[in-house]
Amino acid sequence: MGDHAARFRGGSPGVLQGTYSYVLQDKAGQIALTHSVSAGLDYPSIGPEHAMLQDSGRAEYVPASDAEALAATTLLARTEGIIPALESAHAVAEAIKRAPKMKKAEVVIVNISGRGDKDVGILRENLKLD
Amino acid sequence: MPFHFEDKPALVAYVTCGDPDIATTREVILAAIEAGARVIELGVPFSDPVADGPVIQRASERALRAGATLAGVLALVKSLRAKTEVPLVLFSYFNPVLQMGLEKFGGAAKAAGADGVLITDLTPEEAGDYRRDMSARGLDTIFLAAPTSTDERLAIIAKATSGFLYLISRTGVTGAKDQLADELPALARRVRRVTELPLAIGFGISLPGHVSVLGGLADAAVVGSALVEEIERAGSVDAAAAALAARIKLLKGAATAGMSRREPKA
Repeated sequence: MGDHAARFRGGSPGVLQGTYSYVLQDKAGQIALTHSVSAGLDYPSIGPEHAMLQDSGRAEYVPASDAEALAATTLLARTEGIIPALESAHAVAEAIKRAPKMKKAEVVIVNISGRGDKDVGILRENLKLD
Repeated sequence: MPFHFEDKPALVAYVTCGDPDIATTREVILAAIEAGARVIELGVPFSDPVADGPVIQRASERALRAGATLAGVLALVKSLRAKTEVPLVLFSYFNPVLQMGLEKFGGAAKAAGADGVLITDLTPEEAGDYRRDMSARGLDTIFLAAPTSTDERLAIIAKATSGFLYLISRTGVTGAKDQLADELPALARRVRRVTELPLAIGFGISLPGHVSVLGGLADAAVVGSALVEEIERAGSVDAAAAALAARIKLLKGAATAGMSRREPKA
């Protein structure tokens, strides 16, 4: 506990701040500390819509590590000139993992839901760009 | 069953259980009862106490660090019940109760000798299973009403409530304040219009003056952070018990001083 924020993989159903969803917690229902390089993911619960989509099987949720998200940010910035938000960079990291196993004709859509301008301070620290 | 409050207002004492350990909590609660507390609210420590101010936040952190659990609080209820007839109310956030399981919790709370349960962060709309499982065991379900509750909402809250209704005196989190909210008399009258249940008022109650004003408005006054702060300041179990007893006696003096039945002018 306290070293990640992978709520589907490490969490279980619970109530935090008025919402029933997947929650990172111990057996007694005490909420765990979290860590993520991305501020928007550094929270012990997850939007209940996602919990519903996961449980109904309509969406599959996969985690990415801080290092994978940072590497994905760098790659997208250098190849496309797009700096994704660190939250969105987790999705880019998954695309990087999946694309080599796919056929050339198959199409992947990555939703870059936020821009990384807001994260340059964190990027500078973590990528040692100074 | 509605609680019966003899004094106006009766004193309800809240303590965060397991701060700094369960043995201390037991001693301070017995001292509070001896000093005149008529109901004890046993706070179950939670990692994310969103309704609480800094004093109870710190107490919750101390209790969790020392290993307090809901099961430990239920064992404390059992141990207190062997010593006293004073009503004991479990005061918790929902998640620890949910993780234990509603049925298991209800059974254990009843077996331990608890009288009621108050869940801070559970709304009546989401409380169907909870109310069913508690009332099946004969446990009262106490809900919170707030200054921001509309008349319609007060009626919904009152309908879900048994034992007594807990009215939050002002907006914001728990914590002692110098003054009661000016709107409190009007708020209490709005609540009285929708329910016959006994009314307890809490949040910010710490001074004798508060208690004497509440005598005209409510059946009971809940004192929490002021007591928890005494425990935080005390250097030993005995000092904590003595400080709590002194504070309860001081407040109780205001309740029975005769000024308490005066209805404030509207």
